[in-house]
Amino acid sequence: MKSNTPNPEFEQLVRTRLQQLGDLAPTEVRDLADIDLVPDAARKVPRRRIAAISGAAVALAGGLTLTGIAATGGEEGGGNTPEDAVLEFVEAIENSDLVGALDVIDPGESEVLINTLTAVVDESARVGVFSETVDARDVPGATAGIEGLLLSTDQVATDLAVVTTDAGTAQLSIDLTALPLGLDLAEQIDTDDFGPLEVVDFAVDPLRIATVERDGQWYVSFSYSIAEAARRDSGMPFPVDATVAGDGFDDPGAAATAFWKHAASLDVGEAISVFAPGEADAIGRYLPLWLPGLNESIADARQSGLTINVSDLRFDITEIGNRSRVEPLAYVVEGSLPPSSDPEFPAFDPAAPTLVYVADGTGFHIIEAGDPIPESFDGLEPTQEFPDDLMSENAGPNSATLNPDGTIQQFWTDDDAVEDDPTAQDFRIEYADGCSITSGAIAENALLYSPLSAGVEDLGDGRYRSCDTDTAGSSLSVFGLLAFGRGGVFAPVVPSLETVEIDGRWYVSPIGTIGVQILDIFADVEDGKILSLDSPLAAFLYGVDRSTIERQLVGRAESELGPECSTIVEVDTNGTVTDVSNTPGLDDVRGCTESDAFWNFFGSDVAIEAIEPADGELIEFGVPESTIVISD
Amino acid sequence: MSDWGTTSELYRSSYRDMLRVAFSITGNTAAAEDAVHDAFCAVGPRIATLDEPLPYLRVAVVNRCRSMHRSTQRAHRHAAAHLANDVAEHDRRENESRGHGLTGHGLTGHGLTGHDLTGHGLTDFAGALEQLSFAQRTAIVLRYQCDLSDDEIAAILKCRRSTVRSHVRRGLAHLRKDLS
Repeated sequence: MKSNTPNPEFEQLVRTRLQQLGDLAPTEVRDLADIDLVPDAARKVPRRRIAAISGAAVALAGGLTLTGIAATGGEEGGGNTPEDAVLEFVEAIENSDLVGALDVIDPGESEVLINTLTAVVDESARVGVFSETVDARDVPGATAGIEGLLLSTDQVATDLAVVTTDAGTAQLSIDLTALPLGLDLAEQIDTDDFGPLEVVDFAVDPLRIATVERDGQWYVSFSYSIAEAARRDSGMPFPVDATVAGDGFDDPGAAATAFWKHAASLDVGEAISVFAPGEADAIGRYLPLWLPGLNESIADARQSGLTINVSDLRFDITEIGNRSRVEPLAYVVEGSLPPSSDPEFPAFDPAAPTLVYVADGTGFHIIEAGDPIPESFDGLEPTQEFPDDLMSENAGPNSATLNPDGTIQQFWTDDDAVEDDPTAQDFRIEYADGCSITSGAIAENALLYSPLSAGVEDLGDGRYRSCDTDTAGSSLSVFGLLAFGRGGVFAPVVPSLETVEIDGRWYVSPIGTIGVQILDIFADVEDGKILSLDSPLAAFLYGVDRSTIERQLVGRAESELGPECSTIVEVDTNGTVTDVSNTPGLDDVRGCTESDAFWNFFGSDVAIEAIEPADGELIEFGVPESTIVISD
Repeated sequence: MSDWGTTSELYRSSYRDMLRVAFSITGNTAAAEDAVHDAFCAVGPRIATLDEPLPYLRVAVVNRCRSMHRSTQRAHRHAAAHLANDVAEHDRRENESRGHGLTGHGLTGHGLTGHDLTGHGLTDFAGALEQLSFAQRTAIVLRYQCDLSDDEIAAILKCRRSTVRSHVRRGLAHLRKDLS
């Protein structure tokens, strides 16, 4: 029996032992008057010096190349000066502990960062990235060496200073054998792949770390550091106006509703006023620098017909302490998008020839411009003679593929050619009970470019329903309506937000919301299943996901694949690949997906040749034992 | 305005229960008392405004235990030594009452009932509990000592319900492994 199988007898033993353990607790109840009751606010933060470094810290704070912290700057957190704060920060780099590191971060950011980090580390341990005993406060295996640090300070405001590392070096080292990785993952990682990391020379690549002053102490601020870097890169002057926090809302739902309504109407100034003071100070202070330009672009888009409105929002609200996760249960998003002058897919060009590829390796057939595309390949002769002038046309030839049943995959005919639509296209998305129903001109137009995808149901009245929970708002992404096909106006679904209560008022927490999105990725991974190809994290681990591998391999002859891919597939008695293994080894997947056979549909005896047309763009074709060279 | 009369009542009625939880999590009498008293200090002024102060108090106690766990590794090791003494004394009394006396493995219950897990003494259990991560240990204490639901534990640990289940399941697996 597996050790993690539920066992009522053992659970009863645990219950009994815990009661016995509890009985060892003191029984005497001291009088309240005997206890020195000190209000929380008057308590002093203990000095801490934290040792060790965290691999997770390396990843999460990689942008700063620094992790770990030692809050050694006195009885309270932070430093007496901006440089003190950074020095304490840097001193801790040579130690460890991400959670402890956050103790010296701007108090407006630290709580939510600690919560987020702890949750991410916990979830990472649950799915098997880390071992179950990982503690974000003490993650061994990564060390950093800082030498010869020289700092300078730009006091950009009374409460804000930017400390620059003018000289010094930093070198991170990661000992994978000491990192508390999950067992399955550790087995798959080749330690030889990880040598010493590059030395950072601060004289060449100076770090600019923003520090903020809170009640007389200075703290490192992530959000101000990012905002300052953006301001400096864009050449903007330092913002004159201080942040003016919004008034907050009576409850989490009201805060979330206000945010989405403002965001949908592209009212950036109002949207950021919903953010929590403290953690959003940098956004509120710096974003107005870019507001004029943003508003100009938004005005142009509106002039072209852009309107978006969110209504009928209903939420599932989970309160945890002073924070709440606000998950939309239902909403309606409707409006119109500007006309597209750049269709997502190129239309059929009747003035160009069409090249029909034969996947069995015998070559291709070229249909002259103006000739109809036949339904089947019957009567056509494959060739490997590539006309010299085929690629000389500006748009190049149309392209079609011969299906296994002998029919030719039909792309666009002259009649199907899509003209640019000069009018704005309306859309409406109703989401409720896990399903979205999409309607409007955009949905209809999208179908001209792509057939109805699996999982999308045509309701017959111009509406299309998708209940595919694997891809959020899949009906939208399938139709390419908004985010993907239409310039990323906004995400295809209304995602969850985190809100926070401050002095009795509710605000949207921007950092917490980012954490929610990260945690949502983990939520779909089963316990210990980090290596599963079905995991949403598979694409990060393997570089490809299951559907991509299946698309490339299933149906092909095993003999075509070569030894690299044979280890990760299941084959029937005819030698045809029928499936991909559930949990293939990381190296096996990489070996397969990096092999020529994986990407080559033409068989193992195919030579991949490059064609360099007149415009210089390199195009690769797979043609059996042939060399095609087109010169200008 | 705080209502210290109400706080006193809450203190008297819940102190022991809170102490049991804190003791099981921290494994140390002094640390447990500190955690509970700190929690009362934090919650006290808000007692009058809370409809159900007990859950709020429990969250505060666990949070204090978490803070101690994070910041005082040295104290933690010290606590382990104290705990070992406390539970060893418990085991000794338990064994004496059974007429077994001390075993060849010292003060624990090893060898009393062969490979039967129930034969292990409290020392082994406490030691195994000690080896769990803070989240796993706390989840198990809240589940099996306080009989809290997944939702209640999730609210205390500030994590998802599925994470609580995972902590409990993995914590139990660790305990079984350590005790078998």
